[in-house]
Amino acid sequence: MPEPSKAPAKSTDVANAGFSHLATKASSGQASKNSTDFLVLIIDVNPLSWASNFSLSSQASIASRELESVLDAILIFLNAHIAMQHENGLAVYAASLGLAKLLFTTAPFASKGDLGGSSEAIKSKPDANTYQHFRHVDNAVLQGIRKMAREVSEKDQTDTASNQATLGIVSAMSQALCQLNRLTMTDQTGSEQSLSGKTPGTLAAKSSMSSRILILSATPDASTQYIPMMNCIFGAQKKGILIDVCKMFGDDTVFLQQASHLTGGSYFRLDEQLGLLQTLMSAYLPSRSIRELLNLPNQDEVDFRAACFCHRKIVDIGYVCSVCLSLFCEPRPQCLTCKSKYPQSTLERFAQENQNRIK
Amino acid sequence: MSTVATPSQHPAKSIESDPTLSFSEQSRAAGIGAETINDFLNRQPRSVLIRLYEKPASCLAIFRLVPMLARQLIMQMLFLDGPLPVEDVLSWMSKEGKREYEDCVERLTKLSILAIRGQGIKQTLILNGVFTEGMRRALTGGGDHRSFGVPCDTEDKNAVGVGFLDEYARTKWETILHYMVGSEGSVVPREPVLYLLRRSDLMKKTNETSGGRTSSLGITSRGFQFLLEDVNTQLWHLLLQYLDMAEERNMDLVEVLGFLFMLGSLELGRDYSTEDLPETQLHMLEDFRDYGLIYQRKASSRRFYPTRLATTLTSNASPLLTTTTTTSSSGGTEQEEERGYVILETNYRLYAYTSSPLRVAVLNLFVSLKARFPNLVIGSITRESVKSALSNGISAEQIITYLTHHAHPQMQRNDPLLPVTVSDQIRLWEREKNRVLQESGSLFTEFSSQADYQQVLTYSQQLRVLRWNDDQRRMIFVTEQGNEPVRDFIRRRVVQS
Repeated sequence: MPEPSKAPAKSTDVANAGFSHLATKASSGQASKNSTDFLVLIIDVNPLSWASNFSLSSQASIASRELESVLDAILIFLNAHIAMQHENGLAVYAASLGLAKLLFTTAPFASKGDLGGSSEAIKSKPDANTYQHFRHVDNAVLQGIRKMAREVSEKDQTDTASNQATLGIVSAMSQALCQLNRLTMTDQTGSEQSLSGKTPGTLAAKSSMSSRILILSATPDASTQYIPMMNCIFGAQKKGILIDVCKMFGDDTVFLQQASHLTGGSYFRLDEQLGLLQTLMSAYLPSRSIRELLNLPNQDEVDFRAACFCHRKIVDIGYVCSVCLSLFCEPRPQCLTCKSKYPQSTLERFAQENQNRIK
Repeated sequence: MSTVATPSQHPAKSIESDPTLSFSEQSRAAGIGAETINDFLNRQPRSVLIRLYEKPASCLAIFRLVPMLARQLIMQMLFLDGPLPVEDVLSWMSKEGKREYEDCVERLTKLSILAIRGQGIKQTLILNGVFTEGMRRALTGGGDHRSFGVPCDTEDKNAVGVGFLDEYARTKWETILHYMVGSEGSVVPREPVLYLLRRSDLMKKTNETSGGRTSSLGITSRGFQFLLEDVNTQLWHLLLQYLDMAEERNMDLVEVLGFLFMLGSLELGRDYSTEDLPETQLHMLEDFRDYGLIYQRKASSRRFYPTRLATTLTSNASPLLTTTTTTSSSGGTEQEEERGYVILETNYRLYAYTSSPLRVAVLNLFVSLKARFPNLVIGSITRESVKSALSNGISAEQIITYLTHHAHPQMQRNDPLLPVTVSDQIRLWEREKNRVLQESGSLFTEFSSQADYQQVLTYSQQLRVLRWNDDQRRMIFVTEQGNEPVRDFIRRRVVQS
């Protein structure tokens, strides 16, 4: 289990070490001035939050139209990302209630059969009016999301009980991190020892690769997800992966704010749906190589509150186990994580303090 | 009269400046990759560019040619309907960004993509309407511009795979390179290719009268440098020459460029129809077959396949074309080779794990080869081998860069990559060559008396044509310009006495 209160400082060091490593690598590589940019996009398609957002103002038909316009904007953004550089990589995940799916990836090791719907898209005849790479992405993403919506609605009808509030975002994040990790691994082995390199692909030959994750979030925080979310964040920090967050509607999410803050990404909450495309284009398109030249939106203040391990509540004041640094919302005689027993005197003191506060 | 070598006036200067030049700068100085497609586009008049922007495929290709920040700027403005105030743009740039911003705007205005309106604080940036339209079309898809290649409707009975196309492109391209290196048994490429090679000064007619017209072409020093470049650079070098030639041949430049950019956007391993292509582009299709950019089963075929050479045209990455320079024996060796095959030891021995005759031929330019095995060539870098390379116009820096670029993965562990002894020695050998400066002039000897000698000496000193003299043996060496006046002076002296 991670411990949230101390880790950030330590892991930032690690993350910085990662950055400097990348930087020196990029500068020493004389061949490529522009490093490749691998973007993982996580689209939150949680039907509940989408429906609740639009039902406030309008009917269901309008909501679906809204979703379509958002998807259009996303597709244009993805195309723009591919257009930026011939070598740019891309992976798209859709996260819904309790499941996350890979819709598209340019990673060389992914077998095409895994991707929902994209195999059909590849077989289809090309259209002289569209750039083929764009078409593959667009088809894969659209079909994938459609398929996913169907699955989710079917699942809803069969068993609503098992459909807990587990969110796909975290699952998508961890999948994305795994994929990026594997990419960098092949990248390194590619340059260091090729004798075993059976999966060089186009990416392996690159001297440097910078990767980032962009989360288009729609769902509010679920405090049950605190620990896995933090694990993802630390993993990303360690690997030097940026996490950008664009909150499409609704209130700020504390966890994702922390994610972007800790990994050096940018967080932005849209006030207006119409601005999505422009926001994506101006704030989230720049690759890491030119980010230092730009002023990207930053958060003025970040809510660093953590969730307790016992009830998954977001707490203002928590109690930290002195042995394993687990966090609890109330004093307890024994740590739930490491089973250490706390001295009676401490517990009594806490109880007294609590009483004083209530008074 | 004779020629002697005299120490140059500033030997130190010429040596110091050399190593500081990077490989690209050196080859730029020699003219390889001197002009890029960017420069070519910058030269084009606005009308040509605007017509080019009518095709979304061209928009996309040109978009990828401008600097990263400029691309970002375009993307940012693409879906804005109104002009963008300069003030806003600047507020969005960091300090370093502002400096680069100026360059980007200059580039974009040159390409007529961007225009600045207004004065002072109220300056606004406006994207060109045609470009905006084209770029939006490219991103959103649709329309009926058919600029991304028209696929064939019917199934090809003789369909070919990606592997075949790679192999085809490789053989075609290597045929040209082989011909340039002059390897034994190399096939002579078709006349248009030869013309282009001659035109781009990579090869020139030698004086040999024996042999046919085609066999009398010899490689130039630029040609040698060309060989050391990576394939993408080589290809663009030839294509730019082709573009120049197109201008002379009165081909429509918009169509030529449009076709090039379209090729870059095609998909590897798919057949495209030639039916809708205009006359100019059909002609180009024929030309490009010779370079291996395009595969057609028959000249009259109504479909064509782009090869990897074509589809990676508009990308900047250098190693994309690696498969074309590798052997086709088995998948394993191909991938190993594409990342490097040269091992260089501190004792100047060089092991090259390659079976490609072309690579061996290129290595042979500056390595004296000792032994050849099916997949391994052993040689050593000697003074003579490097000297002969230098005399061919290859620079030490180029040799070192080539070795670095193709170093075997096992060499990657070394730091520095190449043994310092070897790389330094190669540089030293180059300096050896640069240390002496050849100058032609005249040597005067056998002066009858010391007085005569002194007089001629002072005279030539006054004229500042004296290069060298030896009081003991009464010898004077003067420059070429000094030859005549000094000779006349001596004649006058003889007549007088």
